[in-house]
Amino acid sequence: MSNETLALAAGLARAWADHRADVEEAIAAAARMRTGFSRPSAPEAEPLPACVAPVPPRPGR
Amino acid sequence: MTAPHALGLAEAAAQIAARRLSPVELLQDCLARIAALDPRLNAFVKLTAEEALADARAAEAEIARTGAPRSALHGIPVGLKDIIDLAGHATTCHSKLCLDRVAREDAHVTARLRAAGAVFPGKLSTHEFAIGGPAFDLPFPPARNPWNPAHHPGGSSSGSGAAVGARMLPAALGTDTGGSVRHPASHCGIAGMKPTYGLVSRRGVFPLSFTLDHVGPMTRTVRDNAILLGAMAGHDPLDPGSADHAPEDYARDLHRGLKGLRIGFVRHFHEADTPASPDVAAALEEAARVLAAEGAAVTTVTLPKLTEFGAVNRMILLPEACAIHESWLRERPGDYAALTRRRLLPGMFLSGTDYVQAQRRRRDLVAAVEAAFAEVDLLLCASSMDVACRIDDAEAVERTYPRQARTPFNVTGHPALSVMCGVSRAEGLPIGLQLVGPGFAEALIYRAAAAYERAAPWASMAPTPG
Repeated sequence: MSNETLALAAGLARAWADHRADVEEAIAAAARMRTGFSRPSAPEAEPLPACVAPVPPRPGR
Repeated sequence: MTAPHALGLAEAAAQIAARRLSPVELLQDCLARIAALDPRLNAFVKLTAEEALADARAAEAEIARTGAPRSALHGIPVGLKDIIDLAGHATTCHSKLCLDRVAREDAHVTARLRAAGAVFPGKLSTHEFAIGGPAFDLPFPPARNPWNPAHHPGGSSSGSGAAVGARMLPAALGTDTGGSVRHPASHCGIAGMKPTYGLVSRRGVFPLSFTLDHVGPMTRTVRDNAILLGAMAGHDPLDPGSADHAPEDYARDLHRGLKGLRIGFVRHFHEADTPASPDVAAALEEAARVLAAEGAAVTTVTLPKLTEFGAVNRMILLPEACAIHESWLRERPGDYAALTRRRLLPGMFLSGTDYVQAQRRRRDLVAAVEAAFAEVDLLLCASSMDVACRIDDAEAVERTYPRQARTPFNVTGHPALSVMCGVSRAEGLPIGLQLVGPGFAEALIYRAAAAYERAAPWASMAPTPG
């Protein structure tokens, strides 16, 4: 799929027209980001919910 | 006699309570210092001097009438990063896109400080939408480092760091999504806390990432920081991420010292994962030595690699940020600074699957840090791996900004405080360390940081940005 197709699919026609280098760099950066961390292999591995304090208060500290 | 602007928050509060200093005198001296220094440092995007003076006069009158201040914040000037709402004033986010975005009401944290009696002299410079970087294609110039104005002050709470570091204000608020309170704290030689996620309400703060945003205090000393956090923290039922955690006196244990505390030094962050400059590495080792000399048991601990935390941070931050910026990125991409646009755009090409995978991996990373806290009470690690580079060297900014160990604790939500731990030999610029604690253990972090601050020579140092 071409970068232009990706940009248009993302609704970035204007950015593609006026800031093409930025859009192309962003597409490449996104591809690199996908390999930046390991993915849990267990299907049942739950995500943490967004916007929720992940660490419960500890009593007595 | 110390000039009022040179007093820290606690010192000024004590003098106000003793009726040796008027809130009006304090604010006027701060405004004079701002007038003298800010044309060069650009910490402020807007001064709200008249309103602040009216509030200072009201504070003075109330204290005279009642005989005592409402709190330690009564009559104290506190700056607000310009993504935090102040009623009746624009929250510009340092962006062309928000110049006319006037806040109808205070952010929740602003309202808490106002109720405590604080006064608000102005809105402070920030990286555009808290994600850009030092940029010169914005409506306002970028803030500069008070230790050397040719260098950047860190960000994105750049104006907050510069204003407190330069002694223009005793305190300021910042926000921290990938390190943005602790980065300027490290580069400006001040204390900056990223509290536990949810401890301080995010309502009325322009969001960058709902999962990773935190609001934090920035002050000259650890005691000041603890006092300010105490006034900021508290449950907000209208913030869906707000923790239902009882108010605390975060300054209660500042005197207790380090005996009996176990500190895990995450050496691999700055030795292997992202090797620090020699000055930073030496400063961190010396800090560990001081902590041990003061009675802490310092051991080496291992966490997942910095790159893993950083990648998860970006994979959560960018889709959430793009959900916020989607319309503008599509319709007005040219109205962002180039650096901001480049930092945001990758999020438009990440998928929902990518995002959920990051939230799954985030659970593992939280568990890893929690496992460390089963063995130690606190963690010690680097903040920035380099001192601040020149603000006009875009390549150096791009190269050094990611070289840091702050993002792990945005990912996990654990509280993390940056304090000064050294000065670089060549440039004379501040170096910072981080102390990290279990969830809601800010008082323990402050206890250790206060002990370090007493034992180390940095608290007496200040820039001379004249």
